[in-house]
Order: sequence, then structure tokens, then C-alpha cells
Amino acid sequence: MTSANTLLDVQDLRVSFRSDDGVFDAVSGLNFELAVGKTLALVGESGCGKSVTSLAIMNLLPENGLISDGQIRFMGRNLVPLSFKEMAKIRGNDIAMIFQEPMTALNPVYTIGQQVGEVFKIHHNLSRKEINKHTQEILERVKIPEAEKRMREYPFQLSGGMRQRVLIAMALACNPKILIADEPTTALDVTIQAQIIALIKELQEDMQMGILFITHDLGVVAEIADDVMVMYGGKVVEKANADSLFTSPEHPYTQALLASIPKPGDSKENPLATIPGMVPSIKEQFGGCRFRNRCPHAYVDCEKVPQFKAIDHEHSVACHLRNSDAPASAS
Amino acid sequence: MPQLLQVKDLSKSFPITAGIFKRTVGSVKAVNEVSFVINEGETLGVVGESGCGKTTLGRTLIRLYEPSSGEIIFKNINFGQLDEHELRPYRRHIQMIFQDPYSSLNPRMSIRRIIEEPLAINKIGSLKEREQKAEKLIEMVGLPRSCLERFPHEFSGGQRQRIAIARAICLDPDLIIADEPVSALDVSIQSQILNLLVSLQKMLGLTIIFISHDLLVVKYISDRIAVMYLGFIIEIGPADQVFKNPLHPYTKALLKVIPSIDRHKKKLASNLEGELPSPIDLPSGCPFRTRCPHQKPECAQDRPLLRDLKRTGANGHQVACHYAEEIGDTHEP
Repeated sequence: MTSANTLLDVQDLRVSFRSDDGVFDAVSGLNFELAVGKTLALVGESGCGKSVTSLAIMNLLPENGLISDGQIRFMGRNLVPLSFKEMAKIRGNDIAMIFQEPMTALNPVYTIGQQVGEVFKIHHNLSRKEINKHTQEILERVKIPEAEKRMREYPFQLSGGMRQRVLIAMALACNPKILIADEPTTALDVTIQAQIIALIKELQEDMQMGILFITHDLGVVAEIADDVMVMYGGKVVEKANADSLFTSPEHPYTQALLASIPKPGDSKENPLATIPGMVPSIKEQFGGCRFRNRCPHAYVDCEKVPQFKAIDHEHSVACHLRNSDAPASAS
Repeated sequence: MPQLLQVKDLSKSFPITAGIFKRTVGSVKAVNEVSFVINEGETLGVVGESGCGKTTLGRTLIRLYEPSSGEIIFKNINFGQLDEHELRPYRRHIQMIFQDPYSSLNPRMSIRRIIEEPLAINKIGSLKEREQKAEKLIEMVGLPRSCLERFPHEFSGGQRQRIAIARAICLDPDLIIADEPVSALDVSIQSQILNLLVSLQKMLGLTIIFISHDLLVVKYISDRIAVMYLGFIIEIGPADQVFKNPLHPYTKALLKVIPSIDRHKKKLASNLEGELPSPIDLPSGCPFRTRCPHQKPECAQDRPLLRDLKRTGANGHQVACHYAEEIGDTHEP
């Protein structure tokens, strides 16, 4: 299915972590493609493996983690066997990343101008004057008012929204083909979140980046995504076009997740839908469907690992209930 | 319903000091002339963005911070003026639940000690009675009795929040102040905790002040909602009314930027430019005027006070905006 438009093609990715108790898979059997100008959202609760996936793509896994299987192909080239040095050329230049916490992602003792300018220095080797010119341009592009003045300020002088704009400026400084955004609006207020989402969309329109957008917030997904992957316990349970996912979620986990969000019309007279129990730790290794101990529809087949099945060409799900011989009561 | 708490013109500011003599050079005006009433058994939601003073309001109400001015009348007692000694017998009637269940439980105490401690401090019941009470409480919040002998690190965020709730209701309080109690939790756990709070409220007749930045969560749990901006309450009213017919331009803007999981809805439009002004140097007149799309020169003159509108009548829905009538129903839900 790989076409000329495919920027990133991840095949059978498995990421494992070593701990005192043994080796555990944080993510396994992950397959997806990211195309030019498209936004793919990776959504799930804490511990589902969404951030690990992004770190694996960037080759930034912590020391006890490694890619134990699979390929990450960026424009046809497999990134997995690359050395840290080779990867450093791709990182920032071709694939850039923004993080959740804009305060900790910036260095408090350097000015904004120095930090953004560093990107140009490392990747383009320009003169001081050119660097300053480019820095100011990119800061204006992410709509930081009075960019020239802001360049001389330190991170603590900026609000959370402004800091996130600076991070976006740094990420986009080298015109990357892929932007990985790991919960970029989670720490921000809703009014600022709306501004940042609008900015990301606008810049994507201009630069045609492929965006991998990682979040736990389904509302944000509905605003920004073209396609969505729902992760649970280190595996993708459902993958679909965003319209299709929100109108007809197929996996019981996706359904429950959507149902547990309060809607404006809900009243406290009717309890909210909940998912009993909690997300399993990656150390709890049990076979079959990872969701089965919380699933209201679980039956005997769920002890086997569900295969990913296409419902139509833009919607697939890993659930035994979607097999033709599943009990009729469940849907 | 009888009135439980009345707040009159409550303000809280924090001095900013500088130099070796700690001279006061200014102040952060976190809560400004806030007035509201809350009735028994009611849930009042307080919403606003970070820095709007909602947390300071909660902490001032419980006297974790001393009010700078204004009155807090709790059960006909002037709660705001009691000294430390007089305060003690009343403290137990107001309890608090915090946002971060990882830092609000002492890691060295067993769950039993955490839950029993308020009883011990207030010298309530015998040892045996306290034990029984703890067992009853832990089951009320949906955890098995065996949890009592374990320690906080053995529990997930959602379970810890249940423990914090058990501790908060242990002294049979009248009022619970819940400050972002579900913000640190995953959505599937968030709904469990919200359901628990609602059912405990029904069972125990609790009055709740629910502080959150999440409008949908606040709408779900609250009977009435107060919207705060820069330390002022700029709109207050029945939850349905505030959502269906927001009167203040800020409330309208806030409701527009809630990300919705309804893909058919019009996509969110950010019509709010700029950011919150500094609470050290409040704008003259209306606090919202620097970001308001409808601002007029007069807005810089007088600060608008909360008032009824003719159109909505006296249904308790009030707004602090000079031009609320003119702005009208520009919100399309």
C-alpha cells in the first residue's frame, strides 16, 4: 500500500523495556503509515504506549528500552539500524518533535533567540546575522507578537502558550517533513489550546507536513485528525478515518472511552458510562485480548489474540466480536 | 433549601516583596470582591482558566489562606473572622479534595491511618469505633477492606483519589471543596470518580464546590456554575442556563473552544486574541476588556457588577457586563 505520498511507514514495530523483573513489551505489532499533509492521531490512556511509539521513531528511547522488532521506514529508508549520529541528522531536519510541557522543554538559562537560533546553527551553519534574521522570521511565522523583543527574553518571561509557540518555531525551523506532537496542548488552557491547534493546522496547510499527533483527549482528536489509531495496553485496537471512528466506533474500548466523556446534554441524574478496573501494567503479561478483563462483551474467544480485521477500506479493528461467528448479543 | 455558605465581597491578595527589608512593592490580586451563596445539598461549579483565582478562592474559603477582606458566613457564623482557636471546632465541617492524588496522601502512612487520622485529631470515637468507621468508609468509596493495611504507593491515581474522598467524608462534613479532583485522571477513571462523588452527595446530603477548568465536567456535576476571570466572578447561574444561554462574552468564547467529539459540529474557532493580563496590574474597569471582541471606551471606566438581565429575569443567572443586552444571543450552541 506504500505510495509516493507515504512519509513514514511503520511495520510490525515492537518496543521492549528491560527492568529488574524481566523484559516487557511496551508496544507490539504496530503498523501504520503517515502521508504528506495528513494528521494521524494516536490516542489512548496513560501507559498505552503512545509516547513510547513517538520516542522509538525519534530514536530517543531511554537506556533500558529498545526496538526489538520491526521497521520504521522514513521515505523508504529504514531508521531502525541507523547509528545515533546518523539519526541526529534526520532528527530536527526531517522529523521534528514538540512536547507536552513547554517549560521543561526549553532551557531556562538561554534566551529564546539563542535557543531557536541554535537550530539554524547546527543544521545550516549560517552566520550570526543570518541566524538572527531567520529566527525572527520563524518566530513571526508562529505569530509571536513583537518577535524581535521576545528573542532577547528568557523562557520564564513567556506564558505557556507563547512557550509552546517557541517550541513549534524550533521544530519547524528546518522545514521538517514530519512533525511529531506529543500532547502539545495538554498543559494549556482551552482558549490557548484552540489558538495552538489553529496554528498547527495553518502551518500544516502551508508546509504540507505529515503530523503524528499524540493525545489522550478525544475532543482534540476530533478537531485535528484525518485518521486515528486507538491504542490500549501497547497495541492498536482500532484504526480508522476520523469521521468513521467518531460516528461508528467498533472496538468496545473505543466505544466505552467515547461514552465516558461527559456531553453538554448529560445530567448527573444519569451516571456516566465507566470502564471498570484500570489499564493493565505492561508487566501483566496475559495472552489474548488485552482489554478482555474490562470488556463488557468478553467471551471465550477473547483468550486468543484478536487479529486486525478491515471493516471497510478505511476502518479496521482488532476484536473477536467483529468476526461473523461471535455471539449476536454483543455489538 | 436553606443556605449553607454565603460569601460577601471576598478578596485575597498576596503581597510581593523586594529588597533585604522585604518592602511590599505590589500585590497579586488573586480573588477580587467575590460574592455568592450556596445552598445545602447543592453543587456549585467554579470554572476558569489557570490564574483566574479559582484555586485561591477554594483555599481562602477553607481558611488555608487568610482572606484579605470580605466575609465568609458559614452556617450563620462569621467563619472568616474566627481566630485559630475558635476556628478549630468548625474546620471539620468543611473538607477538601485536591487535584494530585500522588502528593495529597502521606506515603509513610497506611491507608487506615490516613483515613482515621482526622478522627484521632478531633478525638472522635474509641479506637474500635474508628476502626469500624474506616472500614465502612473504604467500602463506601468502592474499595475492598483489605486496602486499609496497604500504603499509597500500591494504588493507582483513581484509587488514591477514592482514598482522598474517604478521608474527606470521614468527619461527616457539610461542605466539600473539590479542587480539580479528576484533572489528573484518565477519562475512563474520571467518570468513575464523578459517579462516586454524585452518589456520595445523594447519600450524605453533601454540598460541593467543584473547581475545575474542564467545562464539560463542571456542567455534568454542577447545579450552578460560576465563571471566573482574573479573580472576578463574571457570570453565575444555573448550569443549564450558563451553557445554553451564556451572557458574558468570555463565557461565550470559552464554550466555543471546548473541543467536541461531535465531528459534525462546526470546528472550534478561537475568537479570543491574546492572553490573560497580569493579576498584579489589573485593567481598569472591566477585567475582560483587553481581550473582549465587543469592548467600548466606557468599559475602561467602571467595573461592571453582577446583575440580572431583564430578558432572563430573576432566575439567578447574573452577568458582570455593561453591554450584555446589546451583545445578545451571539452564541450558537
